[in-house]
Amino acid sequence: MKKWMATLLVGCMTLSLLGCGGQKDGAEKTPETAANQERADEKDGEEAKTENAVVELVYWKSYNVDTYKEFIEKFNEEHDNIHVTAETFPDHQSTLQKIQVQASAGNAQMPNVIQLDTCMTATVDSVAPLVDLMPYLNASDTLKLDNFYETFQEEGYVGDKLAGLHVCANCDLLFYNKEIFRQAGLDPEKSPATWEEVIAFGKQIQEKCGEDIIPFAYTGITGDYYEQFSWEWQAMVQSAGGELFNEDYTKPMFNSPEGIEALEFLVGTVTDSKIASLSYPDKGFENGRLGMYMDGSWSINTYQDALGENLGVGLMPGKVESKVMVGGDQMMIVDSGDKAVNDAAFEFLAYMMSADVIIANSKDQGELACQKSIADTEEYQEYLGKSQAMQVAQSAMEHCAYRARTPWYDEWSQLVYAVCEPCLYGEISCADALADLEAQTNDIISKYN
Amino acid sequence: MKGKRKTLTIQQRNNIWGFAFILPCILIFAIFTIYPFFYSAYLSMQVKSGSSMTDFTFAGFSQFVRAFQSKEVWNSFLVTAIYTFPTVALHLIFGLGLAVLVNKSIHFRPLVRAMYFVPVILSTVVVSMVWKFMLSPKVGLFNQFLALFGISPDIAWLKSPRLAMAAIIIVGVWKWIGYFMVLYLAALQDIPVTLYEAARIDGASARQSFFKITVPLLANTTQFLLVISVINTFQVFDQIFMLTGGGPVKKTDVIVYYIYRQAFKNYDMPYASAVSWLLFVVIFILTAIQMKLSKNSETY
Repeated sequence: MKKWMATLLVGCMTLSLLGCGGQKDGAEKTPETAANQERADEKDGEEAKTENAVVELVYWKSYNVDTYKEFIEKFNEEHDNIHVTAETFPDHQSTLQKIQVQASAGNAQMPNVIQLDTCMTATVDSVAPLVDLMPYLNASDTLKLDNFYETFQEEGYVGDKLAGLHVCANCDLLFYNKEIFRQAGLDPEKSPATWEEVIAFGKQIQEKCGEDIIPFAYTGITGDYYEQFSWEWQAMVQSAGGELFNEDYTKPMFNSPEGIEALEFLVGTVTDSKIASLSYPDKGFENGRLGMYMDGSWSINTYQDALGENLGVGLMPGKVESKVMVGGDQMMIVDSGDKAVNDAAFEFLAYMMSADVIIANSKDQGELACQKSIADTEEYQEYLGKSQAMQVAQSAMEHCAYRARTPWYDEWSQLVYAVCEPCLYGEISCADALADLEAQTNDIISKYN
Repeated sequence: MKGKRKTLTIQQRNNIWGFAFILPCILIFAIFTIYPFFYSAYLSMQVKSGSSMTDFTFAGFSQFVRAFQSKEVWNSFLVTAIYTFPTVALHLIFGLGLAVLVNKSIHFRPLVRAMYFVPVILSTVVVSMVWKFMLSPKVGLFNQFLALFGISPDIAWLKSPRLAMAAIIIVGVWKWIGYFMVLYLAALQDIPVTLYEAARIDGASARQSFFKITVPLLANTTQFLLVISVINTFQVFDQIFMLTGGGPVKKTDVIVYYIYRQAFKNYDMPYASAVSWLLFVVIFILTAIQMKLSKNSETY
């Protein structure tokens, strides 16, 4: 009896360990010339079609969104030969971590389609080769590159390869509470357009509304994500007329009067004018404790629900007429080495970029349309017409700028926060912080070049 | 003529069965503990040379040199020490205090003991999330509680360089105090009541009884808890991850969080492995010192 039990136990454990590994067939293929590979893929694709084989796709996305789930189910119902399984992760950092781990394990379990923060496309491409989407766009009837706003046409390129397509966009906006503006004697229909106005409005709110109301805040000091501070500072540099990097991202240019001024504005709201505070109460803006708040357009629906007609929205304040820094997600296809699978992945990508999906997501999440034809549709225009906030945000798409398209962007963004945070506590001057940041940025750039 | 078939002795047969039953556990231990242990030693001798986590080349001890020269590493060790020693002290003091209190005949004693132990069984992530809300300035419950004593509720605990670590310590102590209470309680109940009676007859006060009888007889338990507590608090991570992310301005950037950042945000596995080995050496030395001191102490 003991003998059988022990044998069974050992057998079960051994079998369970065997199940730990797992590799896709593609990962075990021996290297072939590109031409041979393509021929093999075409043959595989034809065989797959002939046999009516269902192509299984895995789609990874950050942030769980019900709207997407519905459309994925609809796609699966409408396509007998393609089945998409979606996996979502809590945030972009988590998704990127998973991609890095899969890449280190030999890409065996890499997904087919990824939707990730636009600034991470180059990083993904450096560890998991992405498909060049240009040939697919040239052949597609429904999805065309020149249909995207100009900025988004350039943004998806990694080197000479169109590695990603901007599926949904967002930008930072200045939200304000009209009721608080009225109490402070400010015009509730006018949002501050310049940095000086932000400070002047903030001081007036401070004077008239008492200590319970915080005049101003931005997500760089209220949130936990380093990218929020980094992104807002970058946007401020642009709106001061400055540049962050040279054209090929080999030289930092932010240690300039504009860069320092931008950082001094953000830091100064806490340390000098004191219209902002690090003691920000949770959900302060929704609960009517905050006068002005710089936050992303993804929060439009939340603030609309909370404040209703008292919600005012303006573009990010700036010193010069400049481009608005834009964020959002890109969709990219990981090269599986199998043409049929890549083709199916593009079919899914094109579906997710269609008007129905984009408009539904926009209504649900406050994301903005990146394709001109979708932005011009009657349905989308009708939706914009009902939301002044969305109108303001969408207007920025015509003249927006993107973040650095480099594999080291994420590492650099963390560095921005780490180096600049001490300024908020008066531990270091903004000029010294940017000098230090410039030196460390040069180290990062030299590591990758 | 064929040789006689060798038969196993009873002891040998028992040994085989014994090994067979523990073999699965050994396999799991070997795969998930021993292998990573040696692999991290191998990794610590490499240097990252590309974007992928597995792009590295041999670099000898350069990662250890880099770690020793890094101000951030020394800051992290200092921050960890600032967290560890007060937390351990408070664990022991409050744990013993609570155990003495609940050891008395009070109403609803089992319920009171269970209530203090509930935080121990809760997930640290959940505890941290709840405390994050409670520590929120103006509206957080903890600040509202402090406001009852005239303290301003505007305290941004987790954003203040001076107070962030205090907040982490409060959460850490609150979470584990029940564990220390339970162990001390068990030890207290092992102390013969006759000793206290004899002390009372001899005219000893409650204070004298506590310091001359209770504390010395709890020495073994205290020593065990001290070792366990130092090892565990030195490796604090969950609260830091959930509450402060190592900030503000690296005031809560404990060493394990620093290692996590290097490994999973910067994807620099070789450097993270080298720092991990430094941490191992530090904890090893601390534990060895504690063991040495405990050997030299008297036993009762």
